[in-house]
Parts: sequence; structure tokens; C-alpha cells
Amino acid sequence: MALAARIVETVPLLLDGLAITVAICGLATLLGLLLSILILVARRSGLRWLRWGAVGFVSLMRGLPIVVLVFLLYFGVPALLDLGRVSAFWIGVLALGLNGGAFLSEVLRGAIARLPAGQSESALALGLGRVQTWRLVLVPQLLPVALPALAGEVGFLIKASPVLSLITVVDLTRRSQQVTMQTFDPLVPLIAAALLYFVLIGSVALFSRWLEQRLQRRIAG
Amino acid sequence: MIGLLSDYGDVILGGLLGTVAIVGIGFLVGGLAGILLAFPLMSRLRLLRWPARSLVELIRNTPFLIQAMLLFAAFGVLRLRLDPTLVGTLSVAIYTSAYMAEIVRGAMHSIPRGQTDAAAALGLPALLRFRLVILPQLVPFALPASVNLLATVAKESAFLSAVSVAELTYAGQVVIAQTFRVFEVWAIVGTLYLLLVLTVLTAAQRLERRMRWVRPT
Amino acid sequence: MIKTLIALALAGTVLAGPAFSQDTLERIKASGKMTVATEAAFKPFEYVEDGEIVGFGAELLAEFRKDLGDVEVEQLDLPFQGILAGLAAGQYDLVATSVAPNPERAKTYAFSRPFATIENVVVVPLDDDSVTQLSDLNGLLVGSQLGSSTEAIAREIDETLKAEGGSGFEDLRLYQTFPDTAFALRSGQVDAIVIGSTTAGEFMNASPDTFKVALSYGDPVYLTWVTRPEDRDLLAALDATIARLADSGQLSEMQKKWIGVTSESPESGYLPEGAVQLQP
Repeated sequence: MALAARIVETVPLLLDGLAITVAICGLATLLGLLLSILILVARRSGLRWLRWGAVGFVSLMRGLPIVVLVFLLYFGVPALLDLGRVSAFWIGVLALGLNGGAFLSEVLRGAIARLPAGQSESALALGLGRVQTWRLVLVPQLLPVALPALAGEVGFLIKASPVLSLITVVDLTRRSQQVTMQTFDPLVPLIAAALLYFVLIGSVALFSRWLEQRLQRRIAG
Repeated sequence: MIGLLSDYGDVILGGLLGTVAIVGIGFLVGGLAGILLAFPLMSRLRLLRWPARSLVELIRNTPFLIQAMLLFAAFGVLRLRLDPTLVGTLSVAIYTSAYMAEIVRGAMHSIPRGQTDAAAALGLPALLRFRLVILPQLVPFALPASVNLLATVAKESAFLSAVSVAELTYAGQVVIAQTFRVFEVWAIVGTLYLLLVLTVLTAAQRLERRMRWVRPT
Repeated sequence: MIKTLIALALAGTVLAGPAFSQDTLERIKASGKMTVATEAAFKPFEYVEDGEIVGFGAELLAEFRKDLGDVEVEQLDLPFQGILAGLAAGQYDLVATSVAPNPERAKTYAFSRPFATIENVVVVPLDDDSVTQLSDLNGLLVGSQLGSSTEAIAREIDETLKAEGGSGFEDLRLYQTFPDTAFALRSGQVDAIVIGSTTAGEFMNASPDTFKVALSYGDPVYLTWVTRPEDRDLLAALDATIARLADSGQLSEMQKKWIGVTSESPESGYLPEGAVQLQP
């Protein structure tokens, strides 16, 4: 019981870190969303180098551990290009955004591929324009897949975000380590941090499931 | 870059072998544990299902780094001296087991219930029923997903460097501490991960394509 | 193409101000802003209390800031591994964390005048009487911090043991922070750790009746801050602040307050041979 009390006491000390984790993951999600659309457009583009660039980028993101990506962006690339000072916070947003964007673009590409063939042709035959086809016919069908995928991306990013504790960002993980160094207790701050991550990621997952069911019902009904 | 490789190539190679061993063994052990874990997960008895469900959700909804740190801290509190590589492998196994259990559950879910009943009606004993009816449908569904999981686990294992496990990323840090050659070292380490993970992902894609014809639709 | 993209994306995140074309000290004074990197896990020199970085170093940083004309300071809390590499990469102006000059580092970085002198010590659990001399470390599992000067010392001890015909350490375990080494020793993950004497004192304060110093090893260790070698003006300004504090007796007061004992702040002789900052 004493352990539970100590964990509860530690939680308020970690809220600063939690706020940073949430802020970075939120910004990275927006960046990822934007990027995933750019990737999808690039992959459908008529320019071969653009298509290959997008495919190469997605492969790079799928093959590189987020830890190494962050070390490369924060330590490696600025040293190579003499970029001067870079902000760890924004490198965090960038790295998670790049990773999340690639992840999301794959999910969306899969969803588009599953749309029944011939729909866009029929829409065109009915006299709808390209933009109208997307807006009226395709996007409403993609939404039930895209929104939960976006929520999935958020969960994925939160789970990857402790990587930022390795490059100066005082996120939830780093904050719990600071408390450990102060109290000389290696276990309690970690359990408290794990609890907060669980609540955060768990609620995103629940929200995503709820959204999925709601949207499916609306499509079905 | 050449000089760096000739002086510290053995350190990097040692790290790569560490990663391959930790991920390989951890994934194998965790995969088997996950298959076993899938059974209570699918049980109709709450008493069996709930603890398994809680464990799986706990693992799937917390970051791998936090899990690994917790495991290390717990062994420390218990004053058990274990090799860090072993504890790292164990944390990979625990992580793998939860995701594998979900893959197996999802695969079983996709098999129509009527099939087992039909097989039972034909008088097939339980074990044969599993081997002849369930397993052949399970594998095409679960195998590509498992190989994808292997790629994810290989990437997550880089977090183990933060808890001083001698793997590839940690080897990179050791070399940087001695040479300060930041970009080159991370470029080399990154390339090695890329080769490792993309090889696994390509295998997953091949498997998926090959097994599509048997996959239940 | 990906490299160009990454470079472009990164360029967007670079804070304003040219990094290398202008002298760093000039730029700090002109912009009224300085960015420093600290590893706040080295009590009593730099550590976190209630979310703030405090300690001897925080007080020194406040004095330096005053001498620069009250510039605004952005202080980053970084893991030690990579902290020097980040300086070379231009991510901050100064490493304001205790760093010991050694020949390897001196090839690439410039060191301030030392603000304290400590020793390297071998720490063991309190009830362990088996380590009284260096050769007792043969066959033991030893810990230290990755990338720290004590890592180099630990490797040196290992080589000395082997040169004298011993078996050397069973293994050298390197941890990300000094407190991690203390946790490892306390929980029996290693038999002994190689750390600085002040760190050892802190561990013994924080966790009484757990550890003891078994022996000390090698030359005194000077604690300094680090700049890029080309930032000579910034280094001179920092040295001037340390000299002012040393001459007025304030440095000794700060040492007494934070470390508990006073130690030397030598004006010269603290740099290894061949240090890049000694070159004209």
C-alpha cells in the first residue's frame, strides 16, 4: 500500500513532462498528417523521380529505428552540414512527424487500394470533376479508415516519444529520471510514468475504437 | 569513414551481433509465449481472460523504453545480478508476447466457427482438428503479421542502448565517445539497421504475396 | 534528394542567427542570449531539484551571466554522451557542465580554468572489505559512466592490471548517468564503480551506510567547462569570471557551500600536452 501511495505522490511531479510529451506528439501528428497527404500525392504523380523519392522516403522511415533517426537529426546532420544550433524540441516534432507521416501514408494507401475499382471512372462518366470525385465519392469512404488510422498514429507517436528524453527534451520519461536522481528511488517514478503513458495511450486507443464503430455504423446505416 | 571502420569496425560488428542475438532470441521466446498467451485471451472464462487481457493491454499501451527501464529497475530492487543482455532479451520477449498474442487471436477470429464444429462432427479429435483445419488457415494469416512484428521489434530494440545493453546503437555511442565522429557513426549504424529491417520487411511482403491464395477472404 | 529534403527541413528549425560566421561572444552580447548545455546528473555540481537545474555550476553560471551583461541564458539538460559532440556541431555556445580535460578531448575542445579539483575513486558496498588495493579489482565486475573521464580512468586501471600480470576486470559496464552507476552498485549489478570523489560523497550522503571509498587512483582531476577552440574570446571571458571569483575568495565559499571542502583552481598546468587550445 505504501508503494501505491508513493506512486500517487509522484504523479504531480511528472505533469510538466507529460505536457511536453503531449505538445510534441500533437504537433508531430499535424506534421505527419500533412506529410502523408504529400507522400500520397507524390506517389500518384506522373513524375518518376517524385514517385521514387516518396517510396524511398517511406522505406527509409520504415527501416530506421526512431532512436537512430533522432540521433542522426539532432547530433549527426547539424555536425555534417554546419547548421549551427537546432532545437531539440523541434527536432523531436520533425523526427516523429516524418516517421508518423510515412506510417500514415501507408495506411491511407492501403485504404485507397481497397476502394472498389471503377468508382472514379463511373464518377467521371457521370460528369463529376476530379476534385468533386475525390470530395463527394472517395473521401467519404476513406474517412472511416482515415480517422482511426490517425488516432492509431497518435498512439504510435506517443509510444515512440520517450526517444526525446535521449536528446535534452524534458518529456515524461526524462522527468521521471530527474525525480529518480533526486529521490534515489529507481522504481517509483518509473511506475508513475508508465501509468501516465498507459492512461494517455489507452484513451487514444479507446477514442479510436469508438470513432471506428461510430463511423462504420454511419456508413452502414 | 574507412579509417573509422578499420579502427572500430569490430565494436560496431559486435553491436550488430548483439542486436541480432537479442532480437532473434527475444522474438522467438516472446513469440512462443505470445501463442500460449493467446489461449487465455480467447477463453470464455473471465477468470482466465481478464488477467491475460490486462497484461496484453499494459504492454501494448506503454512505450518499450519504459518497459525495459522498469525491468532493469525491478531486477535491481530484487538485487538479482543478471547480464544486461539477458535482461534486454527478456524485455524484447515480453514486448513481443503481447503483440503476438493479439496476432494469433486475430487470426483465430478470422476462422469461421462452423469449421471447427464441422470437423468435430466428422469425428476428428481435437489435436487433429487443430493441425488439419485450424493451423493451415492460421499460418497464412499470422505469418506475414509476425514477420512485420519482427521488423518492429528490431527497431524498438535500439531503445535498449539507453539502459546500457551492448547492442548496435550502444556500440555507436561507445565509438562516438572515443572518436566524436557523430555523423559517420550514426550513418553507419543507421545503414546497418536499414539493411536488417528492410530485409525482414521484404520477406514479410513475399510471404504475404505467396500466401494470399490460401488466405480466407 | 532525401538528404537535401532533410537539410531543408532542418534549416527551418534552426534558430535565428548565423552560427559560425560571427564570433560567438560577440553574437551572445549582440543578441543578449546564450545557450548552454548541462548534464544535470552530477550532484553537487549540476543537478535538478524541483524542476530547476541547481548546484555549484548554476551559481557559477549566474556569475558568468552577470559578467556578460545579464544576457538571457537558455540551459539545455542533456545526456552526457553526445554533449561534447553537440558543442562541436554548434548546437549551443558552451558546455556548462563539469568536464575533466583529457588528451583525447583536448584534441577537439577547449577547456576553461578549473573551478574545482577532485580525485578518481573506486567505490564499493560498505560491507565489502575485499578491495583495499588496485590488484583486488582483478576479476571484478566494474561500472562507470559512458563517455565520462572516469570511463577512460576505468579502462586505464584495467590495462594497468593486465600489464601487471592480472586478469583485469571481469567486465566494464558503462551506464548513461552517474546515479545509474550507484543504483547498479547498490543493487549488486556490479562489484565496484569508478567515479569522481565528489560524486562518491554525494552518493554516501544520499544513501548513508551503503557505500564506501575503497581507494583513489591517479592524478587529480580538474573540473572545467568547455568551449569550441575557435571561440577564444568566450573562453577568455569565462576564465576572467573564474579568476575574479578565485581572487575574491568567493570560489572557495562556493566550494564550501556545495562540495563541503575547498580545492584548488590552478591558473595553469591543467591542460594535457598537445591540447588544441595551446596552439597559436
